[in-house]
Amino acid sequence: MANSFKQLAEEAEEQFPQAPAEVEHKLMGSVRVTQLVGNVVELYLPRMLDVLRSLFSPIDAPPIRDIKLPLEGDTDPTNHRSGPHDAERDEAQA
Amino acid sequence: MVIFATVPTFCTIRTDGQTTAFVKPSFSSHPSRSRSASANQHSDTELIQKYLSTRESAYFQVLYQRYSGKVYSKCISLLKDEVLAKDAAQEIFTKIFLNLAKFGERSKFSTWVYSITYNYCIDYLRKRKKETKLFSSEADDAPDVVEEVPDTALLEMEVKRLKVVLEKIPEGDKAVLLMKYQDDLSIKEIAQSLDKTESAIKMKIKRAKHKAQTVYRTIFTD
Repeated sequence: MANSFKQLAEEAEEQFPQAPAEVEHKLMGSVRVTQLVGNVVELYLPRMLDVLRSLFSPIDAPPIRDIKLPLEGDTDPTNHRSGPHDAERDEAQA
Repeated sequence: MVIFATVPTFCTIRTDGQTTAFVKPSFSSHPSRSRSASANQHSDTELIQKYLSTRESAYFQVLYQRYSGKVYSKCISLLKDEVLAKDAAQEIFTKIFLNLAKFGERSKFSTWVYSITYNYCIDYLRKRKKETKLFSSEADDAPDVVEEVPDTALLEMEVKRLKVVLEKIPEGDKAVLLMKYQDDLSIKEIAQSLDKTESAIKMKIKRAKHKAQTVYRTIFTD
Protein backbone atom coordinates (compact mmCIF):
# COMPACT_ATOMS: atom_id res chain seq x y z
CA MET A 1 0.00 0.00 0.00
CA ALA A 2 1.33 3.46 -0.92
CA ASN A 3 2.18 5.75 1.96
CA SER A 4 2.33 9.45 1.15
CA PHE A 5 3.60 10.19 4.67
CA LYS A 6 6.73 8.12 4.02
CA GLN A 7 7.29 9.85 0.68
CA LEU A 8 6.94 13.19 2.43
CA ALA A 9 9.57 12.10 4.96
CA GLU A 10 11.92 10.99 2.16
CA GLU A 11 11.54 14.38 0.46
CA ALA A 12 12.33 16.15 3.73
CA GLU A 13 15.40 13.95 4.28
CA GLU A 14 16.65 14.71 0.77
CA GLN A 15 16.23 18.40 1.51
CA PHE A 16 17.92 18.13 4.93
CA PRO A 17 20.23 15.08 4.94
CA GLN A 18 21.99 16.48 8.02
CA ALA A 19 21.25 19.21 10.53
CA PRO A 20 23.38 22.36 9.97
CA ALA A 21 27.06 21.99 10.94
CA GLU A 22 26.76 24.57 13.73
CA VAL A 23 24.30 22.29 15.56
CA GLU A 24 26.86 19.46 15.59
CA HIS A 25 29.63 21.85 16.59
CA LYS A 26 27.69 23.22 19.57
CA LEU A 27 26.38 19.80 20.56
CA MET A 28 29.77 18.08 20.54
CA GLY A 29 31.17 21.05 22.50
CA SER A 30 28.60 20.57 25.23
CA VAL A 31 29.16 16.79 25.12
CA ARG A 32 32.88 17.30 25.80
CA VAL A 33 32.19 19.79 28.61
CA THR A 34 29.71 17.37 30.19
CA GLN A 35 32.23 14.53 29.96
CA LEU A 36 34.95 16.71 31.49
CA VAL A 37 32.72 17.75 34.38
CA GLY A 38 31.74 14.10 34.84
CA ASN A 39 35.39 13.02 34.97
CA VAL A 40 36.29 15.78 37.42
CA VAL A 41 33.42 14.84 39.69
CA GLU A 42 34.21 11.13 39.45
CA LEU A 43 37.97 11.41 39.99
CA TYR A 44 38.58 14.45 42.15
CA LEU A 45 35.47 15.09 44.18
CA PRO A 46 35.96 12.18 46.62
CA ARG A 47 39.57 13.35 47.24
CA MET A 48 38.46 16.96 47.59
CA LEU A 49 36.00 15.88 50.25
CA ASP A 50 38.81 14.13 52.15
CA VAL A 51 41.00 17.24 51.90
CA LEU A 52 38.20 19.50 53.13
CA ARG A 53 37.40 17.08 55.93
CA SER A 54 41.02 17.09 57.10
CA LEU A 55 41.22 20.89 56.80
CA PHE A 56 38.19 21.50 58.96
CA SER A 57 38.75 18.63 61.36
CA PRO A 58 38.62 19.89 65.01
CA ILE A 59 41.44 17.59 66.23
CA ASP A 60 44.95 18.55 65.13
CA ALA A 61 47.11 15.46 64.81
CA PRO A 62 50.71 16.12 66.05
CA PRO A 63 53.51 15.90 63.47
CA ILE A 64 55.24 12.50 63.39
CA ARG A 65 58.62 13.86 64.54
CA ASP A 66 57.02 15.20 67.77
CA ILE A 67 55.68 11.81 68.77
CA LYS A 68 57.93 10.44 71.53
CA LEU A 69 58.51 6.71 71.45
CA PRO A 70 59.11 4.95 74.83
CA LEU A 71 62.52 3.34 75.36
CA GLU A 72 62.69 -0.28 76.45
CA GLY A 73 62.42 -0.56 80.20
CA ASP A 74 62.18 3.21 80.64
CA THR A 75 59.18 4.34 82.63
CA ASP A 76 60.08 8.02 82.71
CA PRO A 77 58.06 9.75 79.96
CA THR A 78 60.60 12.62 79.70
CA ASN A 79 63.19 10.19 78.32
CA HIS A 80 61.01 9.00 75.45
CA ARG A 81 62.65 9.28 72.05
CA SER A 82 60.98 11.16 69.25
CA GLY A 83 62.94 9.74 66.32
CA PRO A 84 66.24 8.43 64.95
CA HIS A 85 68.06 11.72 65.57
CA ASP A 86 67.54 11.31 69.29
CA ALA A 87 69.57 8.09 69.24
CA GLU A 88 72.45 9.91 67.55
CA ARG A 89 72.24 12.73 70.09
CA ASP A 90 72.30 10.19 72.95
CA GLU A 91 75.41 8.64 71.53
CA ALA A 92 77.09 12.05 71.17
CA GLN A 93 76.23 12.91 74.78
CA ALA A 94 77.69 9.58 75.98
CA MET B 1 61.87 4.38 0.65
CA VAL B 2 59.01 6.16 2.36
CA ILE B 3 58.24 5.39 5.97
CA PHE B 4 55.02 6.50 7.57
CA ALA B 5 54.86 6.58 11.33
CA THR B 6 51.84 7.71 13.26
CA VAL B 7 52.67 9.89 16.24
CA PRO B 8 50.15 10.08 19.07
CA THR B 9 47.13 12.11 18.18
CA PHE B 10 47.72 14.71 15.53
CA CYS B 11 50.66 14.42 13.17
CA THR B 12 52.36 11.99 10.88
CA ILE B 13 56.10 12.00 10.33
CA ARG B 14 57.27 11.10 6.86
CA THR B 15 60.91 10.21 6.42
CA ASP B 16 61.82 10.34 2.76
CA GLY B 17 65.55 9.68 2.30
CA GLN B 18 67.25 12.66 3.95
CA THR B 19 64.13 14.67 4.48
CA THR B 20 61.81 14.45 7.44
CA ALA B 21 58.62 16.42 7.37
CA PHE B 22 55.55 16.89 9.50
CA VAL B 23 52.54 16.11 7.36
CA LYS B 24 49.09 17.47 8.02
CA PRO B 25 46.98 14.60 9.35
CA SER B 26 44.53 12.96 6.98
CA PHE B 27 40.99 12.14 8.18
CA SER B 28 41.74 8.43 8.27
CA SER B 29 44.85 8.94 10.41
CA HIS B 30 42.90 10.76 13.13
CA PRO B 31 42.03 8.23 15.83
CA SER B 32 38.50 9.48 16.46
CA ARG B 33 37.76 9.64 12.71
CA SER B 34 38.92 6.09 12.11
CA ARG B 35 36.95 4.92 15.15
CA SER B 36 33.97 6.82 13.82
CA ALA B 37 34.32 5.08 10.43
CA SER B 38 34.35 1.63 12.01
CA ALA B 39 31.52 2.62 14.37
CA ASN B 40 29.36 3.33 11.33
CA GLN B 41 28.95 -0.41 10.81
CA HIS B 42 27.35 -0.94 14.24
CA SER B 43 23.64 -0.98 14.98
CA ASP B 44 22.13 1.76 17.15
CA THR B 45 21.98 -0.49 20.20
CA GLU B 46 25.61 -1.58 19.77
CA LEU B 47 26.70 2.05 19.48
CA ILE B 48 24.87 2.96 22.69
CA GLN B 49 26.43 0.04 24.55
CA LYS B 50 29.89 0.92 23.23
CA TYR B 51 29.44 4.56 24.19
CA LEU B 52 28.30 3.65 27.70
CA SER B 53 31.24 1.30 28.24
CA THR B 54 33.97 3.52 26.72
CA ARG B 55 32.56 7.07 27.03
CA GLU B 56 34.08 7.71 23.60
CA SER B 57 32.17 10.59 21.98
CA ALA B 58 32.84 9.22 18.46
CA TYR B 59 30.12 6.58 19.05
CA PHE B 60 27.57 9.22 20.00
CA GLN B 61 28.65 11.27 16.99
CA VAL B 62 27.70 8.39 14.66
CA LEU B 63 24.24 8.24 16.24
CA TYR B 64 23.96 11.98 15.75
CA GLN B 65 24.91 11.73 12.08
CA ARG B 66 22.33 8.98 11.55
CA TYR B 67 19.42 10.89 13.01
CA SER B 68 20.24 14.60 12.82
CA GLY B 69 18.65 15.07 9.37
CA LYS B 70 15.45 13.30 10.37
CA VAL B 71 15.16 15.16 13.67
CA TYR B 72 15.96 18.51 12.06
CA SER B 73 13.40 18.07 9.26
CA LYS B 74 10.72 17.11 11.78
CA CYS B 75 11.56 20.21 13.84
CA ILE B 76 11.27 22.42 10.76
CA SER B 77 8.01 20.76 9.80
CA LEU B 78 6.46 21.34 13.24
CA LEU B 79 8.06 24.63 14.29
CA LYS B 80 8.14 26.21 10.79
CA ASP B 81 11.27 28.19 11.60
CA GLU B 82 14.88 27.26 10.77
CA VAL B 83 16.45 29.07 13.74
CA LEU B 84 14.02 27.47 16.18
CA ALA B 85 14.59 24.10 14.50
CA LYS B 86 18.38 24.41 14.97
CA ASP B 87 17.96 25.20 18.68
CA ALA B 88 15.42 22.41 19.03
CA ALA B 89 17.69 19.85 17.32
CA GLN B 90 20.54 20.80 19.65
CA GLU B 91 18.32 20.57 22.75
CA ILE B 92 16.86 17.25 21.61
CA PHE B 93 20.26 15.65 21.03
CA THR B 94 21.57 17.01 24.33
CA LYS B 95 18.56 15.39 26.02
CA ILE B 96 19.25 12.15 24.15
CA PHE B 97 22.93 12.26 25.18
CA LEU B 98 22.12 12.88 28.85
CA ASN B 99 19.54 10.08 28.91
CA LEU B 100 21.38 7.44 26.88
CA ALA B 101 21.92 5.33 29.99
CA LYS B 102 18.17 5.37 30.64
CA PHE B 103 17.31 4.04 27.17
CA GLY B 104 15.97 0.65 28.15
CA GLU B 105 15.65 -0.94 24.69
CA ARG B 106 11.93 -1.40 25.30
CA SER B 107 11.47 0.20 21.90
CA LYS B 108 13.66 0.89 18.89
CA PHE B 109 16.18 3.71 19.32
CA SER B 110 14.58 5.57 16.39
CA THR B 111 11.16 5.41 18.09
CA TRP B 112 12.69 6.81 21.27
CA VAL B 113 14.41 9.62 19.34
CA TYR B 114 11.21 10.57 17.49
CA SER B 115 9.19 10.51 20.72
CA ILE B 116 11.62 12.97 22.30
CA THR B 117 11.50 15.12 19.15
CA TYR B 118 7.70 15.32 19.01
CA ASN B 119 7.45 15.82 22.73
CA TYR B 120 9.93 18.70 22.64
CA CYS B 121 8.25 20.42 19.68
CA ILE B 122 4.73 20.04 21.06
CA ASP B 123 5.84 21.33 24.47
CA TYR B 124 7.51 24.29 22.80
CA LEU B 125 4.41 25.14 20.74
CA ARG B 126 2.19 24.75 23.77
CA LYS B 127 4.33 27.15 25.79
CA ARG B 128 4.69 29.65 22.97
CA LYS B 129 1.09 29.83 21.99
CA LYS B 130 -0.25 29.04 25.45
CA GLU B 131 -2.54 26.84 23.44
CA THR B 132 -4.15 24.63 26.02
CA LYS B 133 -6.32 23.05 23.37
CA LEU B 134 -3.31 21.48 21.63
CA PHE B 135 -3.93 18.32 23.65
CA SER B 136 -6.79 19.29 25.95
CA SER B 137 -8.48 16.62 28.01
CA GLU B 138 -11.78 18.38 27.32
CA ALA B 139 -11.51 17.53 23.65
CA ASP B 140 -10.42 13.99 24.48
CA ASP B 141 -13.45 13.38 26.67
CA ALA B 142 -15.93 14.79 24.17
CA PRO B 143 -18.39 12.28 22.68
CA ASP B 144 -17.34 10.50 19.53
CA VAL B 145 -19.37 12.14 16.78
CA VAL B 146 -16.90 12.15 13.90
CA GLU B 147 -17.11 9.62 11.12
CA GLU B 148 -14.28 7.09 10.75
CA VAL B 149 -11.95 8.04 7.90
CA PRO B 150 -10.16 5.07 6.31
CA ASP B 151 -6.35 5.11 6.48
CA THR B 152 -6.12 4.81 2.69
CA ALA B 153 -7.77 8.21 2.29
CA LEU B 154 -4.66 9.80 3.84
CA LEU B 155 -1.99 7.30 2.83
CA GLU B 156 -2.86 7.48 -0.87
CA MET B 157 -3.23 11.25 -0.96
CA GLU B 158 -0.92 12.99 -3.43
CA VAL B 159 2.24 14.08 -1.58
CA LYS B 160 1.99 17.77 -2.50
CA ARG B 161 -1.62 17.85 -1.40
CA LEU B 162 -0.86 16.00 1.82
CA LYS B 163 1.81 18.60 2.57
CA VAL B 164 -0.73 21.41 2.12
CA VAL B 165 -3.32 19.60 4.26
CA LEU B 166 -0.81 19.03 7.08
CA GLU B 167 0.05 22.73 7.06
CA LYS B 168 -3.62 23.63 7.52
CA ILE B 169 -4.52 21.40 10.46
CA PRO B 170 -3.48 22.18 14.09
CA GLU B 171 0.08 21.16 15.11
CA GLY B 172 -1.18 18.66 17.68
CA ASP B 173 -3.21 16.83 15.02
CA LYS B 174 -0.33 16.99 12.56
CA ALA B 175 2.06 15.55 15.16
CA VAL B 176 -0.11 12.51 15.97
CA LEU B 177 -0.65 11.77 12.27
CA LEU B 178 3.09 11.97 11.58
CA MET B 179 3.86 9.78 14.59
CA LYS B 180 1.41 7.12 13.48
CA TYR B 181 1.75 7.10 9.69
CA GLN B 182 5.27 8.44 9.09
CA ASP B 183 7.24 7.01 12.01
CA ASP B 184 5.09 3.93 12.70
CA LEU B 185 4.78 4.60 16.41
CA SER B 186 2.19 2.40 18.10
CA ILE B 187 -0.77 3.88 19.96
CA LYS B 188 0.90 2.86 23.22
CA GLU B 189 4.17 4.60 22.28
CA ILE B 190 2.35 7.79 21.23
CA ALA B 191 0.38 7.73 24.49
CA GLN B 192 3.56 7.33 26.55
CA SER B 193 5.32 10.03 24.59
CA LEU B 194 2.51 12.57 25.02
CA ASP B 195 1.55 11.43 28.52
CA LYS B 196 -2.00 10.56 27.50
CA THR B 197 -4.15 7.47 27.71
CA GLU B 198 -4.33 5.11 24.74
CA SER B 199 -8.05 5.77 24.27
CA ALA B 200 -7.40 9.53 24.24
CA ILE B 201 -4.78 9.05 21.52
CA LYS B 202 -7.10 6.83 19.45
CA MET B 203 -9.72 9.55 19.64
CA LYS B 204 -7.15 12.23 18.80
CA ILE B 205 -6.03 10.34 15.69
CA LYS B 206 -9.62 9.76 14.59
CA ARG B 207 -10.38 13.47 14.89
CA ALA B 208 -7.11 14.45 13.20
CA LYS B 209 -7.91 12.20 10.22
CA HIS B 210 -11.36 13.72 10.00
CA LYS B 211 -9.95 17.25 10.08
CA ALA B 212 -7.39 16.37 7.42
CA GLN B 213 -10.06 14.96 5.14
CA THR B 214 -12.32 17.97 5.69
CA VAL B 215 -9.46 20.35 4.81
CA TYR B 216 -8.63 18.25 1.75
CA ARG B 217 -12.22 18.36 0.52
CA THR B 218 -12.46 22.10 1.17
CA ILE B 219 -9.28 22.94 -0.74
CA PHE B 220 -9.08 20.38 -3.52
CA THR B 221 -12.59 19.28 -4.41
CA ASP B 222 -14.19 22.71 -4.75
